[in-house]
Amino acid sequence: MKIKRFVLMVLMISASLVAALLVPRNFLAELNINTDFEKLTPEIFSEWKKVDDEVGVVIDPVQKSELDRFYSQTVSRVYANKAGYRVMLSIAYGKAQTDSLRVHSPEICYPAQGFMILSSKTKTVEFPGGRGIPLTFSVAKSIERVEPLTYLVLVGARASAAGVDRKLAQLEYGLQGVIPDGVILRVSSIDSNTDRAEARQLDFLTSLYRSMALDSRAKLFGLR
Amino acid sequence: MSDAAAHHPGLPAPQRPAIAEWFPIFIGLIALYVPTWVDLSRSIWATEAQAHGPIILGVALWFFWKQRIAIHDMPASPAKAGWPLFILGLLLYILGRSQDILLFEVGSQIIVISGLLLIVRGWAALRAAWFPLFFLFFMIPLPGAVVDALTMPMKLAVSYVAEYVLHAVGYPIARSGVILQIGQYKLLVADACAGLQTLFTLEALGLLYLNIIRRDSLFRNITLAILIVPISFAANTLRVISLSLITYHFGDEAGQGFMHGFAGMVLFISALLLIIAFDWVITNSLAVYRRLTKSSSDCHKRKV
Repeated sequence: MKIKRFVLMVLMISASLVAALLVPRNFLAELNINTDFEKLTPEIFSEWKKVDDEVGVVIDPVQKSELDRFYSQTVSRVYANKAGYRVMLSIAYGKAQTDSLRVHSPEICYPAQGFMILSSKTKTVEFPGGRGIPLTFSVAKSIERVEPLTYLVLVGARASAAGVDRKLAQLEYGLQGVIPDGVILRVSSIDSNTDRAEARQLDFLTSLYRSMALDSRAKLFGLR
Repeated sequence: MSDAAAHHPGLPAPQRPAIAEWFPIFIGLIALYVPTWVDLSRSIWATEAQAHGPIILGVALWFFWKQRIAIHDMPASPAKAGWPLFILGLLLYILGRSQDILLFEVGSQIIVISGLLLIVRGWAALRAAWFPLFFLFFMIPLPGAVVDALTMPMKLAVSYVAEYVLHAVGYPIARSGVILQIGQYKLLVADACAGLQTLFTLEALGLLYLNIIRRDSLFRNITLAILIVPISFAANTLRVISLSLITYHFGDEAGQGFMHGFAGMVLFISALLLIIAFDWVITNSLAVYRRLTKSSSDCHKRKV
């Protein structure tokens, strides 16, 4: 009887220690330390051209030292195509899948600013070169406007859909003791014609993909 | 087993020293879950969406504590399922804690404790502790998608009713989804105002109330437990209405600042009052019903 209690106690204490030991410690972000997303993203490609607009660049308020600057970056631009259709591009990079990066997740970011997410669906789109990439298409609505958006979540080098898939991708790295960095790539437009918005946003993403060199492209779209 | 007691036939049945027996187990549970609770308090328990966490934990611990003597006095009849369940619980804990999967880390509490009860006492102990174990399910943070799916209809309903009522008494109010426009102010009915968190907290406190103010009627207990859902809805609506009025009459700063906490207080007090009121109504109706059926059966007996 006495032994049983002590065995139970020892097992529980061991579990606590093992859990602490298995916490991933190595940041994948160390490999991306010199990536400048602002420079990486082309301003003109295919039909699309960057427009200087009132939107302005969103500066991450949590910038500390020069070193930290690379660990949390955001890019915010407006592009227009030849027909004058405008889209807003937002890229958020974070050194870990938590905190600052989570905040940029559209499913959190939009409702926090007073939008309602009317619908959301995941689709796997075949990109030039044959790679299927999961994209999430959502329609957000506020009192003033309807804003359909398309976004892609990168966990380390793996593109995933929001939700369970993203957690599984994080797990894949975690079980190897690595903390994956992440990118949220989002394209949105103010358009109540959601089908048209979906098509234009997809065109933007595939054109962007096609126009980038392999190694730069991998930073935004992942490798698998 | 106390050897001294076994050698003295005159003494009552040997008493197992409770503290000595359970102490190692408590140490183990502390090693596992205090780090979990500390991390939770530093992260999601601070958010509005999960603020019910510590309340659920407190209430569950209270219910376990209440059962402690009953469980301790049970004869030890360990169940075979105990060890596998316990080990499974520990594995889930290790995976959940190291890989940041709260579902596993927090959920493992239920499995580990169930396993321990089965190992040390058996199925009877598990049955005695079913309620706090079931309660611990409410501590598990649900995935965002699930919370959104459940919370959105509630938020919409609360916004709809709040707008309807204020409009009916003549206020300039309009609504788009969960955004209310009253006068020149725009208010967003956020998750905190009309979400699952308040529902869970109220359900927890309501069940605690039921356990403290005990009555024997199963009907009363189940009815009240279910009624807490619409009561929570009504209380949330009252909170949104009062916040809208405060913002309209005293401005944005009043509505968003100290008054926000006050409105929260309004919510809880009104909910508790409603629960007590319903309890009074149910209990008295039951008493009247019983008296009526009793007297009619007396009537029948008097017939010759």
